[in-house]
Amino acid sequence: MRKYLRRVIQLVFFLLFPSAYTAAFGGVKYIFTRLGAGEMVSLTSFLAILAVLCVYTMVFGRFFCGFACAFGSFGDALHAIFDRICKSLGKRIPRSVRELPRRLFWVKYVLLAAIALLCFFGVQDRTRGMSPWDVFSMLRAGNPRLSGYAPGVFLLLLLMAGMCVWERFFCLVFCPMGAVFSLLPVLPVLTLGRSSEGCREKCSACARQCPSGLRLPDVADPDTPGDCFQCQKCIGLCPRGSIRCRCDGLRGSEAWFSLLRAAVLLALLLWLGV
Amino acid sequence: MRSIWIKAINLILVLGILLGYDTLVQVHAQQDYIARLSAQLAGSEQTMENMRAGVEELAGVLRRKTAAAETSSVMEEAGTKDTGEDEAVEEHAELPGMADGEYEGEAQGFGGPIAVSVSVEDGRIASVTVLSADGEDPAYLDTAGAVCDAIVEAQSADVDTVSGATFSSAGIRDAAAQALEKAGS
Repeated sequence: MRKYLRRVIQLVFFLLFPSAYTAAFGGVKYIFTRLGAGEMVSLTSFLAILAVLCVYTMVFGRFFCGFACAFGSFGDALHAIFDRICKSLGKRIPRSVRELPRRLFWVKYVLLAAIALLCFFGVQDRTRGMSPWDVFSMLRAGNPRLSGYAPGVFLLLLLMAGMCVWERFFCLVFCPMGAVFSLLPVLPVLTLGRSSEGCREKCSACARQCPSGLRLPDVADPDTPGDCFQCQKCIGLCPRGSIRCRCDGLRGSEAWFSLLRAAVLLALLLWLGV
Repeated sequence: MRSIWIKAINLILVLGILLGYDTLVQVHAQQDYIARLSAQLAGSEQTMENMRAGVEELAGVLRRKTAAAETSSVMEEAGTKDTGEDEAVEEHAELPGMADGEYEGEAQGFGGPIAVSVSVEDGRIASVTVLSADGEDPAYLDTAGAVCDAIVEAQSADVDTVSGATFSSAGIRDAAAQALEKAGS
């Protein structure tokens, strides 16, 4: 039930706001371009989207990543299809391979720094044709004029292969927008936590199911891990029901809360005119 | 680990740096503006000085000419008339060949055609407006709109695209180029 709710929300956001993630990252690139050029950073529409999504993330955690990002949803769909094929063939990916991306989470920060530097020195236009996001957006918009985008097509195909094998592969390892989000402080009120007294020492059911391999911090700890996409997969999974919303009033009504968060995000994006 | 506090402090630092940077750039721009104005003022004073000298010189030349004209024939007068007419013809040729009016053009943007209207007044590009762009994302179209002002400023559709909204701005530019072709520039 919770799984289908998430898929419906993802589909709605994919259809309504397929370019919210690139627009927000356009805001990041804009800031560094202007800093490099010595010009004023003014509130453009890209920057407004970036600011609103950052504030939203600081309140609700990375719900945008888990439920509303078009590229994330695309990856989820690929992984779901690949997973089904694997199951019907009776094959399983070995655990050592499955946990590989979790050790490469730092790559996205390097990528973010590299893109920021390219923008700062004003040479970002020279890498045109290399961005897999551009290629994805063009294909999504039904724009097949991909000449000059060969490197981007190649990278997108590589990423798609990774997305098939590993859930949230791109988000965890490469997403530069995710790198920005994961560096934001999140209010420790509306995110998930774990009441760890009930946990057996060797149980790691939640961490094994988590796309980022996270074992959530205790509810008393105010930290929210930067790589938690708020995908909510861990909620129904714990045999002891130890994973819950930090806010007591929301316990048990996580599905409604997801709907509420989606509605707030929908209203914000409509207001911004994404 | 209380990483939330580290993140919060980082965020405040980043925001502070951005705000400080913006204020600095603004102050610099104002100082530049003031410097330019005072330079202009000094320049115009200089021009006034030059003009006064020029007028005096001209008066001297005129005085000499009238003295010469009194003694010479009427032929010279006809000669000066001819050169005056030549100058008028040249001036006319310098006017751009755009007829006044509203011209529409269309070109491919990111996700479909973009229709643009260019208005020409007194042989100059007065404004560029986007009529329809259904396939573009609003945030991108908004950013790409900067290319309209660039075309008016350059008085030509030969301008750079807006980085971050390359396809949409290229669409607007190409549509404007098509419209200007109709205007016969």
